[in-house]
Amino acid sequence: MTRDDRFITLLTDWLEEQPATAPDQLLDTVLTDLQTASQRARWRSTLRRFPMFGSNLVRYAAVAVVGLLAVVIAVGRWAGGGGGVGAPSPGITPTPPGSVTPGSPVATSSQTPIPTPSAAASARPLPPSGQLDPGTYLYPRGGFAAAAFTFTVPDGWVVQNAGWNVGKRVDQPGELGFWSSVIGGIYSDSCAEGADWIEVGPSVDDLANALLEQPGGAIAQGPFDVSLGGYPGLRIDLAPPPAAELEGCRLPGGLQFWLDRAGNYSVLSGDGRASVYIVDVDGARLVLGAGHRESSPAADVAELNAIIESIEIQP
Amino acid sequence: VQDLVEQASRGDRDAFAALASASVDRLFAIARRILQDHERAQDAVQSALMSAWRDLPSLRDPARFQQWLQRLLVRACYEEARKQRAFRVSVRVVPVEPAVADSTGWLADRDQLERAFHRLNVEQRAVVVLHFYLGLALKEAAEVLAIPEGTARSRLHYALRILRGAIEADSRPVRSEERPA
Repeated sequence: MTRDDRFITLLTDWLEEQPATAPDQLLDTVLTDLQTASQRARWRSTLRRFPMFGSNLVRYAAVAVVGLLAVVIAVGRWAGGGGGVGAPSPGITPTPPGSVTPGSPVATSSQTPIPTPSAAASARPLPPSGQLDPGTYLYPRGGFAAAAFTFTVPDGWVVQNAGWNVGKRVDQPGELGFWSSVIGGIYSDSCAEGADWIEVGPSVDDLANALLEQPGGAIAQGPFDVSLGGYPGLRIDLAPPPAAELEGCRLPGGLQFWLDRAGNYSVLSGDGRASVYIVDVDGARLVLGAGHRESSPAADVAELNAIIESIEIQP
Repeated sequence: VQDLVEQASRGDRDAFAALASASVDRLFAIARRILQDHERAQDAVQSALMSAWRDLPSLRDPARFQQWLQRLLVRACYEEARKQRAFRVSVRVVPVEPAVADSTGWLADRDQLERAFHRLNVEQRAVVVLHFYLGLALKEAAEVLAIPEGTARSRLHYALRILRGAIEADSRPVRSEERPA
């Protein structure tokens, strides 16, 4: 075998051995989106090919100028699906593990709404990405969440990453948001290079204790008894150590607590504050993270609090 | 497949669902290799499939559905690659140390290859994946990418030079002719 043959074999083997099966939730998400997505009319697709309409923004403006109201509405619908005008810019990033400061928990037992069956019935399916119209949405049970829940957002919030995280000011100073994760284990250290992955038991207490004892420098407080969406649970508040201590972490500038079942994780950066809600939903452990940065406007944090308070778990 | 494409282009969601079900693994595999990121690959596939549904009425030749879908996927990969993921990055699974000594340097080469692949731009990765993973001829890969064949050839050339260079640089210290007498 020549050196070149060996190189090509190495390359093809390496490509071949990478995962080739899509996660189940991917097709589920596509099929769910398909139910509400409309097709573009043939002539509208043709319009897209005109060079002068190469920019979505220009196309939108041009269409508006000629007064084709129907087209404007249709393009707006298309944008809502995450593919065109008004869709999140490429620069938008997932929400950081923002959080709620220890003194200002996002939800408490006294704030918890009583679940009502009507919430799920009227909730809209959460799109995979894009701007959210104000209203109530269903965060489905699946790869991201051990139990479904509804939540209500005001204007200005977006969803990203196949419906994983909901946030505001994403990829901008002051970003904040929330997300859900299915967690089977945490890292042995949230900072150190080469940390092991440690499986944790299935109960609320198992995960809460593991987070509280996790080395790595995070300032963890709790557990605080809470009730989220009508179910009892615990809240852990996480704050970072001084920023300088984070620079040498395996994820420079941040702490990584876990890797969830969907392969996602969040990073607590030097100006982040996070609260982790761990709730027992009829034996299933629902984990919800919420967070903000120090620079997040108080009004936005209040909106985040209201969103968390609006959560109704759908067992 | 052609019947399903025609039905789907007329708005039949069930037909498109069947097409999506049949394609999703293949699309994910391609996106996963181009992006080298599990989550981004999912996002790219989702974006490509939804674009396909929306724009299917504009597809003139149903027989070219697969190639058209691959083109949408590659575009979606380009978009994903341009996104900044400050708070969620891909997770590299670190293999357990081999129980047997890696006398051939194979594992080290693979590690070098993986690192070098990350240094390629997404356009170069796409050509490599279409050619070496899907087995497309350069002309076919160029059609999927909507670029001239010469451009595809050039991208592949530079990509392979980078990858090969990484392997050779890594192996240089153990080549016998460089060992001290």
